[in-house]
Amino acid sequence: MNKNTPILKIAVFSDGRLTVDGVPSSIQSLRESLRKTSEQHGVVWYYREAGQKEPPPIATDVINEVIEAHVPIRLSSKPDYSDSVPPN
Amino acid sequence: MPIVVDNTLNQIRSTAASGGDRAERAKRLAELIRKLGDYRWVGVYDVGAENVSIIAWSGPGAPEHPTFPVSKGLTGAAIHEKRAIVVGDVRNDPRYLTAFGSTLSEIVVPVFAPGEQRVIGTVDVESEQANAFSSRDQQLIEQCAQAALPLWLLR
Repeated sequence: MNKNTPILKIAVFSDGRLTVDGVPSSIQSLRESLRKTSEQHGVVWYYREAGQKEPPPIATDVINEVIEAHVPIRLSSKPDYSDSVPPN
Repeated sequence: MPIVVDNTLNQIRSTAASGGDRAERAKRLAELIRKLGDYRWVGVYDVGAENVSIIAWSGPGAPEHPTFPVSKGLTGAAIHEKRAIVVGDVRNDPRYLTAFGSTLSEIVVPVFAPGEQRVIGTVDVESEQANAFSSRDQQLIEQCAQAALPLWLLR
């Protein structure tokens, strides 16, 4: 990933809220954002609040959308994405 | 696609993406894959930068090597070559790393990170019969591995 790679920042909160680049979002609009990110060969930065606890249902939907879109993902345990790492 | 396969793939998807303990989810996935093909043993592994580690298995017992270097065994070959490795008789393959003394054939299917050619997990299926895995088995296990991908992403 170079400094020009587009980054889509996704956050899932314990109460089921979803934000994309800091803006409240829905699965439908996320799908469109992922499509654009895929076209631009971008990457997803993904943060889930309280990652050690049971994920809200929307977290499953988000992951499935990322898989469907074939966009590389980096996982973070911090809301500022400062510890984003590839899966495993 | 036969209904039983379709149903199992759906079960694998929902299990992989559900909440709860990751090792328990992985065990359930291994059980579903094992049952689908009436296989003897199925293992689900994490692939890290240096080591491969068992998450869970279904079958007679734990593997002899629960953790091993990424370069070792048929798993190492699958990771390096980024494709499924099928061996009909492990006695003739020097790459084989013993999991069970009675294994004769093995298939290792890599799981790729979305949008990348990086292997983040593997599904390992073993049989006590030689040449146990057909191209149909390979296709089936590859579909299962793909359906199980959320296990590696949804922590």
